[in-house]
Amino acid sequence: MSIRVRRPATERLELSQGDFLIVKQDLTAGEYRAFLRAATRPLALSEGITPQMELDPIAAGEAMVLAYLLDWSFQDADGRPLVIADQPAAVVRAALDHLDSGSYMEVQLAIQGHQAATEAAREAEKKTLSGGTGPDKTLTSAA
Amino acid sequence: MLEAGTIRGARGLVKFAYLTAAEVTGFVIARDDLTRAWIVQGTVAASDSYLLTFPGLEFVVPHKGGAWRWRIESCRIAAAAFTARLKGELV
Repeated sequence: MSIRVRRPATERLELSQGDFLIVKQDLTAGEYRAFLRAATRPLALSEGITPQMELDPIAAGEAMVLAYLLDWSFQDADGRPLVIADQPAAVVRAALDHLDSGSYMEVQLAIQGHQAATEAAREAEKKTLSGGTGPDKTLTSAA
Repeated sequence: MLEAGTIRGARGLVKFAYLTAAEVTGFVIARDDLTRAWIVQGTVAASDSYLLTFPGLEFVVPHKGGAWRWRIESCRIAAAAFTARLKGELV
């Protein structure tokens, strides 16, 4: 038997100018499905052909940022904290939309790098664990 | 630590780490006269019954400059009504 539910963990990603992001270490299945839904669009095909989905590269970048991002150190034009933690997705999206484009791309690239590194680490963990003991990240229910 | 009074808000969240176990609207935090415990009541806008079973839940009220947080001792949802017993101090 193996553990398939991870304890929610966060990571801090360092950016330029001393800024940082707080991101989810991993996505749950539900979060991953929501990310895929937001990152794809249906392909218009002729009648009788099975509908398919196509990755929307613009939407995919934003969807990944929204899926992982929890908090950051950014400030608004008056130097007040730009609060996104625990805010509705619409508020986070609006905050992202108001960043200058260079800052947005820095955020997106940092999160893409984090996602790639996490995936690589997970693959390495799978190899290590095959035939070994399970991961120690246990989520204990109080029920 | 809360001593007296009532806190009202439009939106609060029940969190397990960064995951949202429930979103509560129109909430009121007040002291129960009989037990002296701090109780939050509100309407459930969305909930995750799996996450609500975990220990270590917090009631989080986001505001302009950040968020207020209280540890939840116990909570229950009946229909759309949310009730939780809070520890008296802000986290």
